[in-house]
Amino acid sequence: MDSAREHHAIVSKPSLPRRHLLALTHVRGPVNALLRNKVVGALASPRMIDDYLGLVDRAWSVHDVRARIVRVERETSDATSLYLRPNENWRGFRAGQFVQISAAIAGVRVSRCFSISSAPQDRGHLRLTMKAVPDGRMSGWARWRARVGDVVELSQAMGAFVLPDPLPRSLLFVSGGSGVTPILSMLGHLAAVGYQGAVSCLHYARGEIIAGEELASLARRLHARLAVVRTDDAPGHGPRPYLSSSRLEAFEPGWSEAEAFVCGPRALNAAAAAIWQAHGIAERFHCEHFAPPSTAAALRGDGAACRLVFARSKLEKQGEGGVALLEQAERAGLRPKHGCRMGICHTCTCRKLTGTVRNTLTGEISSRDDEPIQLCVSAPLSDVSLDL
Amino acid sequence: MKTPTERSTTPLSHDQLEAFGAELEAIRNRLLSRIDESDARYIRRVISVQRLAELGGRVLLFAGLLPPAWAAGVGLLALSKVLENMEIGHNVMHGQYDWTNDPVLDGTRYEWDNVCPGDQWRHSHNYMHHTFTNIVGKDRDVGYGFLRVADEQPLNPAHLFQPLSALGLMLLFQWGVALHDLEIDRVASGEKPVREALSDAKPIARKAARQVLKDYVLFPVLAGPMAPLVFAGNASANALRNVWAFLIIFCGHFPEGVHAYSEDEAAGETRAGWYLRQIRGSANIEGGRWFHILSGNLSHQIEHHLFPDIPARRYAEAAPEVQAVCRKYGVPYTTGPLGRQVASVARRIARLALPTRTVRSGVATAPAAITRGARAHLGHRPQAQSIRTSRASLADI
Repeated sequence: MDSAREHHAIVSKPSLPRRHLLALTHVRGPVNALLRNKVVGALASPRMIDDYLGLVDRAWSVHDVRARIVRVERETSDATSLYLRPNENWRGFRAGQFVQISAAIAGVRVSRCFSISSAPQDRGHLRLTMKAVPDGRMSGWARWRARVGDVVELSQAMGAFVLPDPLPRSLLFVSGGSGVTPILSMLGHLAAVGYQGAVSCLHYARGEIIAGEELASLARRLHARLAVVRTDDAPGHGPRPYLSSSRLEAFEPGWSEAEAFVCGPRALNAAAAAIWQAHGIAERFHCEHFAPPSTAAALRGDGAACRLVFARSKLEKQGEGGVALLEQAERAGLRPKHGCRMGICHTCTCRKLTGTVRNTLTGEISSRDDEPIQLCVSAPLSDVSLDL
Repeated sequence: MKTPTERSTTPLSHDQLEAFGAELEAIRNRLLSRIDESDARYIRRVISVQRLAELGGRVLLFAGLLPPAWAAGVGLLALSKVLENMEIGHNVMHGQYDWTNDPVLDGTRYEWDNVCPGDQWRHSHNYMHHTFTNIVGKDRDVGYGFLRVADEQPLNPAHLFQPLSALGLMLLFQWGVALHDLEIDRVASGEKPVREALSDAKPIARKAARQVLKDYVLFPVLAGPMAPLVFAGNASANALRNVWAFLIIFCGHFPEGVHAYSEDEAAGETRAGWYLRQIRGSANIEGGRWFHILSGNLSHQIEHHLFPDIPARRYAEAAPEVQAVCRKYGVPYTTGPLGRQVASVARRIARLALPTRTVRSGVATAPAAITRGARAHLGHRPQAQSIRTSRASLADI
């Protein structure tokens, strides 16, 4: 854990660029209420009033949650925390919830979901801790390019992975890797409210431990039982059942009585779910999945069969590789908007939710989730899901 | 001597045409591979400048009792509307910045500061005009339903007054663009049912109402005693934008030397044929960096028509490559400074107000625009020989 501490390099001190006088920071509430007026909307039409407020302060909006980065901290060699100060539209969160953060990265807007790792009681900021993943645009950006003063967009807090109200008598937390982040938030909350019940934390980690120091100190404050299990001794063995009821029993004899919160890689979550299921105490089991960045589905050639999901129409069809998606959507009985059918007019532009397609004009491959594509000149190379 | 307008058939053999198309496709791919963060930064910067100009213009108009403030206000507001309509709105709605994934730059949803609703523009412009460019009878930008700008259009008595009606369209251009898709001429002739036109008119009325409310009711009212000055200032800014947009757009397609197509000519065309038609059907305007920005880079109308969904600031770097390909294949590339192109358009509108002798007989009007491809191979023979181009160049002498 000390090794983790050594990597705590504060990249930038929590100081903010000077605010403009016109930013009206201290009277934002009433000013925003005024600006939400219909007449103001009509004056700004066809833009939104937000588009003009952004000229004064990029974090100013009467509708959206925007947040300014107040601190960037490199936690370990591959994990970075962003400390964010959201604007007046942020409605707060409950410990354990997540947000979607959107930032312009190399000119492209990228959105990802992260659990909030700070406690709701931490006034003035919230913290997102991101572990770098290969090709992870957001985590790489947070580590190397995000600067204090940058503005990002946030969703409101989401998710049902929250502590019950009232709090139960005992709590068990099981986490793996960066799955510790919502747990940190919950422990911080419990410490802040002076929780008197029994707390146990079982954390699995490989390599450097994210926020190991903080986890230990929270555990001390809560008089919690904490075990950190290293899993790096079995490299390359893939997912292994590192959690079992006997291990649980050995760690915390009262585990089955406790309200359990589990967040980790898929294998850990699945193993835990099976244990609680087997003991018939699934109602005490709470789990948060964080999906790894979508691994590209197996690519197929022209003519090969693939699965097409038309998400908005709630329709699923067998598709064909190499054939334009506009044509396939029409074959499926849909009538997507379209114009030239030759890649010029962009009338048929549609969001591809998942999957890989090839632009038949340029040969360009689109494999990232949630990218706009032209249906008339895009052919599937894998299973594809469309916002259609 | 024949005017270039009357060259009708494509000069290139099938193989030549396909090779020509492949070279343009290669330019397109090179441009695509160069698009990066700088393009996103650029358009966001233009947007900031536009919004500052708009705010500045509106504020100055409120101080409109001082004539210099009023004039500066009109200037800034007009600048804002020009930038918003041309470099931002037109280009964003083409999907040039869809790759940024930014809802503000989403071409399918962008709404511009113009009485023409974005959705209708996307249909009449992105689809109809860019797909059927300069095809008489299909591209409604050819004369906007009431001007005769191509010999191929049949003459009617109203065309006699078209120098005047063109001036009217210039001053009220945004309304012309908004009513464009209603196809009033086809409703009058009974080709389009009145009911269809009425349902098309609804979104136009809604959008126009919002625009009128903002510029001619709310801002004047907000100005209190200055209301008449603000009203007049907003009207002037809109008119300036109208004139500017009209000039740029008319110079993009109707100077002498630009070819209009019949539906038969364009039938069964390949992508290479479409490329050729875009070049022959468009004309560039020469100018400096600011001129290009203020025209929304439509001063590179030819490159815009070839690559409508590539960020427009890239057209300037594509232009020399496109010209080189045109020279190589002996395809005319029409360009000229603004003054000359405006004069050329004016002459064409005046000429076509009167009956033209049968289309093939030729009219003794000197081509005002320099057609570079033709001029170039007076000096050296193009590699791709074709009867058509040599004839064209002889005609130009």
